[in-house]
Amino acid sequence: MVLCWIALPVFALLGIFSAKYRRLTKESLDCMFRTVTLRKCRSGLDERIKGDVTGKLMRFSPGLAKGFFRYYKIIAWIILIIFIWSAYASALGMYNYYKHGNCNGVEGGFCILPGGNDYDTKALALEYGLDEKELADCLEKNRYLGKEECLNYCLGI
Amino acid sequence: MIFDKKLDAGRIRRDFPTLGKMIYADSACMSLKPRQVIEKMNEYYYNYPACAGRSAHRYGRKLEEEIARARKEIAVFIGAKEKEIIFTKNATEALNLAANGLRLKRGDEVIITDKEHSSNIIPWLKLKKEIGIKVVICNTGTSGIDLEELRSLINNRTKLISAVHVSNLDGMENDISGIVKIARKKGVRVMIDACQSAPHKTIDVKKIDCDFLAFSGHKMLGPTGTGVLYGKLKELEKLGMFIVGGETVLDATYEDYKPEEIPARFEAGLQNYSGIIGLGEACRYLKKVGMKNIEKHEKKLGDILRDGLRDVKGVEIIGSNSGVFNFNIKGMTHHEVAKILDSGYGIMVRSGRHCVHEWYNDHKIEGSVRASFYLYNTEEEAERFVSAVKEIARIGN
Repeated sequence: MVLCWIALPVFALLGIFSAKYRRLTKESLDCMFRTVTLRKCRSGLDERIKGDVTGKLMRFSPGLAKGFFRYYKIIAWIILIIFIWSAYASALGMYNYYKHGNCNGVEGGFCILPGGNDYDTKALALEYGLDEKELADCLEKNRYLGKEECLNYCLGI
Repeated sequence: MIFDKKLDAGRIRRDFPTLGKMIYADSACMSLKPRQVIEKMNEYYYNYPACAGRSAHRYGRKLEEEIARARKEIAVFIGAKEKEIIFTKNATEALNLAANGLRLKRGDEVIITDKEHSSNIIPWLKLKKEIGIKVVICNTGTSGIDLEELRSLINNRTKLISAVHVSNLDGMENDISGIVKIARKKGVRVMIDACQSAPHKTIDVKKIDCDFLAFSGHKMLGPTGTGVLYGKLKELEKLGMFIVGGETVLDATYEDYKPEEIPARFEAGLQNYSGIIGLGEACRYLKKVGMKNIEKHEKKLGDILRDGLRDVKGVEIIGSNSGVFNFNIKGMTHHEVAKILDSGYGIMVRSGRHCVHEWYNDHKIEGSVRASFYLYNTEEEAERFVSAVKEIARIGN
């Protein structure tokens, strides 16, 4: 059941802090394992999540609740795909941060992590045949030019 | 009686601390407890937390008095003698005590109905496996046990008819007097599972004339871990001891023991004293409200449920009697419906097979939703339940 797949990592994370979620993680894991082995999920976790969400939506809009109840499988798949994509993007960002010092690799760009907005001077110096220290000093001195202009100026583009 | 003619649910609700905006409709599983019962139980722990039947000190004596008072209250509640009341931890234990104490032999037959709670089928199936008794099923349908069928099922090997009085599945009531009448003619004993009747209607074991009757405390405003087995004195004298140990013997040597008097010989070990005292208080409370008033009130609530949901598209009624309403909604599982009722409307119901697995398997129904109302539920709550189910049915269809 798709809902269990989504629930598993969420509950696993929350399970670090609460025993209640550890129990739910176990249920999700069991449900996922049974789904993978083409058996029916027996914990009823999917029904409980579906019922719980539908019930909460009923309070605001019965129409919305009906929509969720009818199309929850499609909604669950969309959430699952978004989840997998964002997990991939996060992992890639972490890799870049570790390897190049920012989230976006050699090119740089917006990065939420501390110092992550800086460029990978080592990689850039190597690529453009410049001295790494000189390049770093140039980028620091000409920050006032703005990101793109500063980079073009220091790389001599 | 607190209320002479009409039960005032609004006034009663003030006695139940947990009641608020939520609607509690799972009383067939577990009733809520009034303040009076909780306070009476606390009284034991605060004022005389001792052992009964062992200690001669003042706490022990006070507890003895309270236990005797509770036993008397419960005996009066069902029209029995005090000696005929055996305290157990629930109805399941009470039924097991009787099943194991009857000393049935291979080939003996026990008749039960097709709508028995697990507590009144599993003990017999266990004996079937272990000693080879025969378990015979009698059909009930929607209006109760088929007495003609029952008559035809009795033979000279039949030792007992063990039937549910009111079904926890749909509130259907069996004609207990009819069953006993037939059994008496054939010299067969009768045991009644009164778990769903004792909390809701007047029970008089003398009038019913059954040999054994079992019920739980937690379904009748009493505490959990309490139950009662009523047995006619002459039947209890023949009944074998099931759990033995402390307080079940008058004396013992390394070779033998002498059983205690009835009922003590069936009440092994230290008992759930606060629970027993609480159960006595629960009987007192119910008696004050008036069992007839409760029955009438629940019938009215049941009528609101049935009239409101009878012809609603998508609502499949499995059964409904008195304050019990068992149903499914097309296009939804029973657990989904129960969850939506809880999270969307604040209505607590039970979903599943309600411990009547055999009936659901036989009817090829996965499970169902059961709403069960009691004296503290109001007509407004019943109406809110009806409109909630109607709204949910629109989602599924």
